[in-house]
Amino acid sequence: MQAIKPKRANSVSWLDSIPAYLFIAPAFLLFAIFFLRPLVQLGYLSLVEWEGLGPKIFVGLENYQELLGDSRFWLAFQHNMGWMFAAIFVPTAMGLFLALLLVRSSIHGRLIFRTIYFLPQVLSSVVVSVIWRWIYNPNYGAINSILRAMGLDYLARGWLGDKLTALPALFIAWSWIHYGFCMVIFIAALQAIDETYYDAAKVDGANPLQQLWYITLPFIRRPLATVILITIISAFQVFDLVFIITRGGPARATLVLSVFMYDSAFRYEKVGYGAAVGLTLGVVIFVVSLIYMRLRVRLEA
Amino acid sequence: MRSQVRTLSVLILLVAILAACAQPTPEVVEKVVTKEVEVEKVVTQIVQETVIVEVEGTPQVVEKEVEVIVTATPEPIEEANLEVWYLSQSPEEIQLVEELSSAFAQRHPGVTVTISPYGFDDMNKTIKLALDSGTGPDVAYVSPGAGAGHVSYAQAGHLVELTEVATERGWDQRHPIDSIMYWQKELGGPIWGVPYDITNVGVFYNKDLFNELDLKPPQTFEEFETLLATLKDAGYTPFSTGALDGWPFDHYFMILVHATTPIDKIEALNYLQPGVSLSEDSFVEAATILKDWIDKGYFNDNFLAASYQDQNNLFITGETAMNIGGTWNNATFVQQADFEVGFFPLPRVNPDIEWHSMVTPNNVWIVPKYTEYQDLAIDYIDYMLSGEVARALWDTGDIPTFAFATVPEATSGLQADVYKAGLDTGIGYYYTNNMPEAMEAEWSALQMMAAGDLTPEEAMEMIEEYHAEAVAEAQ
Amino acid sequence: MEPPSGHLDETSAHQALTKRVGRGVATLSALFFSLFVLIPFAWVIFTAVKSRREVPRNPLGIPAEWHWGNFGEAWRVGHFDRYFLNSIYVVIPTVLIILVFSTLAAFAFSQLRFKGKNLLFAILLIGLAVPLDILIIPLFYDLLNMGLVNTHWALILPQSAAILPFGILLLRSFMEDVPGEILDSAKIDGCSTFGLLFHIVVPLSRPALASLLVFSFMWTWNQFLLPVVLIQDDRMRTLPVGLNYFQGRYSTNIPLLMAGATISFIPIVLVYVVFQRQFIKGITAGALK
Repeated sequence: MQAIKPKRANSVSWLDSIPAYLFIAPAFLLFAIFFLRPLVQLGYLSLVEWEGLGPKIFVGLENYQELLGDSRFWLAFQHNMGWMFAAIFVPTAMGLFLALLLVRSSIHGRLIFRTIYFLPQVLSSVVVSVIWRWIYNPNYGAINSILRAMGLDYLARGWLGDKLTALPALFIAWSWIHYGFCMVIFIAALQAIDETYYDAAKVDGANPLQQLWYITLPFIRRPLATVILITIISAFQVFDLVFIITRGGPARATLVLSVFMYDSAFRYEKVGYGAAVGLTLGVVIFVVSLIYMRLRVRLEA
Repeated sequence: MRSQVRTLSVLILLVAILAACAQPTPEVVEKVVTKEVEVEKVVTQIVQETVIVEVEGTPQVVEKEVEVIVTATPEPIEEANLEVWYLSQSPEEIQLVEELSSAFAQRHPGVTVTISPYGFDDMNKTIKLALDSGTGPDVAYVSPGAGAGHVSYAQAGHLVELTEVATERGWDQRHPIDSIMYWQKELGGPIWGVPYDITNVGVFYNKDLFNELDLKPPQTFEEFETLLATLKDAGYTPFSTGALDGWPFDHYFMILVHATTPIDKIEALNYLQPGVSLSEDSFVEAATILKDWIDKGYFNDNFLAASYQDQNNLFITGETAMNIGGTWNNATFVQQADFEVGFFPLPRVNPDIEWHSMVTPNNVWIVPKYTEYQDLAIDYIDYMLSGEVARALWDTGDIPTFAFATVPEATSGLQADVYKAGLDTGIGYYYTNNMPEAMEAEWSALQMMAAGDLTPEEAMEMIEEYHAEAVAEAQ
Repeated sequence: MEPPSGHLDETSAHQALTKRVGRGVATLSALFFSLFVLIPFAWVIFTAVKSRREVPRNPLGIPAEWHWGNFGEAWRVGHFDRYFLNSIYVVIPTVLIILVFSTLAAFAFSQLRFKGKNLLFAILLIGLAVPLDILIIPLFYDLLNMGLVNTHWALILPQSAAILPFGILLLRSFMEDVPGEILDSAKIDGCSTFGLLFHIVVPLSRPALASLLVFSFMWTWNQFLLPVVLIQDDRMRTLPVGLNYFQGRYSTNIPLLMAGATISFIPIVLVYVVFQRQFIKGITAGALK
């Protein structure tokens, strides 16, 4: 007698899958054409030399070789790395602090404050750029005007023009937007902590600081990790603010990888090279994320 | 959710009411009404006009014969929409072109002209592809030259050759400088694009301030250096620049290059020909002079953080005495400065070279091959090159390429100065236009030099690296 | 061990005081941070109503005269009506596509069994890991070949495609939480798959749909890189790019520029203030799941 092969628990036949395929088809079609296909093309484009018009010349890994020897690339990479490290601390700490303020303290008007704090997140990057470029204006901007009004003229400077302050200045403008995102994630995470833990701690005589250390922080570990991961990825993707305010200048002091990618393809007409930069950027984001997640696992163990 | 929608609707209503109250006083808009008109065929009239001519600085009243060219309405043609792409960021210029175009459309019943303005980056990004795919405009006013300019579109076979038309219509007879051939040199002859105005780069200055301090526009470079020192000692800031944007500061350098370097070397740079290097003495000298000016404090405070708008604003409000920039600023300066604005070309540093500033024919009109309105496009360009349009341009303070039989009265002292400078000096080149990476490197190198991170020699080397690459690729 | 009652009174009074002081300090911090957010806004609006002359003379202070007409002028001169319309023409189809396609796909992923489900979902996750920005170069040439450059579709299609993974993820996790009993009883009553979707799952997913709607709206409305690369025709520009272009053309007129910026942010701020719950939920839900 033939042994009847047992069906695998999860196997579904092709025929039965058709209704489901119809459901996912619209989304997948759109996704495939306008996301996956360009992704694959990015890889292919990075292997050619092309001016956007005319023939594409296959050059293999030459673009990548050139990229690795290009001082502009490494400068941009450095800037993104610095941005990333600062981003891990500044907007996240701000977001956490404000979330704690809104959830764990006893202040009134929480909703109003939350509304205000999240406001920069809904603005377009162009609006933010226009605002902050004007704030940093050396002659009439808010910062220098305030400093001069306080008699601190010597502190007033060209924030966007000095290579020491230009990138940090842009970073601050970016943080002004990004902290709101961190904050709302933390708010949701904090709100999810069961109040009874705190009640028990208070009965044991724990002060607020101890409550923070022993209850709050452990409970928000996972959301904190998510926030940091998303922040890291955002730090590498920064484009709008840099492009509009300083365009990577002056003297490349604020050059970041995304701007370099744009310039290579659309300004220098080296489309293949730009694609190589783009793909490298994607890989960098991927690798950094991976490293971060490994580190996290290591630390938690 | 419903209450939220309600709240939002109320808020929108409030904003709408506020907005309605915030309208500016409506300006008087002249409506263009098309009418059928009987027109006689009039071509040229000789008219006696009383004109004030400046001869060696002394105005004299003279009776002159002036050619007045009147265009007659040609036969009406079928409906057509002429799509024009126009390279400009200036709102005033775009408005003028729109007005001129509707005047053109009036004379061609059935024809409408649509102007699409483009900025420099956008135009360069789109036009080639548009030409390639045949989806672009019918006429365009584009960047000239090789590299990203119209010559490269011609080399790719996209443009209608205009050499014959130019001769037929007398376009090549209408320019006081060799403007039409300017952009064609390397191809040795065919005309692919026609400019209709001229820009110059030189020194704008505060005439009132100069008069106060008893200063005159310098004739030699030594005089200029003395003038700078005098201004500085008297407590004034000589120059304003917006180095944050890169290119405004680059203009200071480029004009110095034209003052130190023989024009054939600059030409070689422009056409990506081998045999010239930016590390050569004349270029280093230009950079050194610029560095010297920076060290002596001749520029506005924090100029590395200042933008192009700051550069102009500081000059307009009288905070700096001079501003080295392009004559596309003429209208802005005349309208907004409280003082009288003058212009002089930078004197030569090297007395052995010919005197050149950066007089360049501005952008060029081209006709793509694929357009179905080729004749209409050429008529349009012909109109844009006409005396009538030239006069309109002149009246806005612009310098058209048109060779007036008698130069109209300058609308401002500034325009008179610019016109004179254009005749006194020779043409120049935006020599990095054809090598965008070297252009960016030049901006960055100059900014680094200004910050003290690079010596003038090092800055030139940095630019030369990209220049050499561009030359190698062009061979 | 309980301390004696007298001591307890002292402790609770001490606690009450600490609480008061704590709240005071917290409120002060909260107010201080509010300034950090609000001052740039206030300053932009102040600058927008000043005259050109006043800006260099009085950059920091309250305007001497309030030139409300600057807003009207910026609107007129900067073609903001055109830019607004274009943004609307882009946002509405994008949001609709995202909502409909995500709902369908999320339903399948959460309720149906089919071959390759896990693989297909993993492919979708690529969309979350890869930023849209790096795809702009090939996207430009693709859309050019499709003849879609300078059209609204150039912005609608890639934007939808980029947000779909997030939308599907969000809705799927929400749909998975629909109690099994409701679904089972519906099936027993003879409900078809479509009926299941429309009559049960969708209504129950309304909060998630609202969040997705608001999130997609915000992200699409503020999108900059896509329109800056894919749209060169000024008549088709969306609001952010229009504002940037306006900045380039009118950069010497600071009050006008600030008025333009104000015009640009007022609508989304209004929408946000009214719908903020959904905004915040959208972001939170996405990140926490």
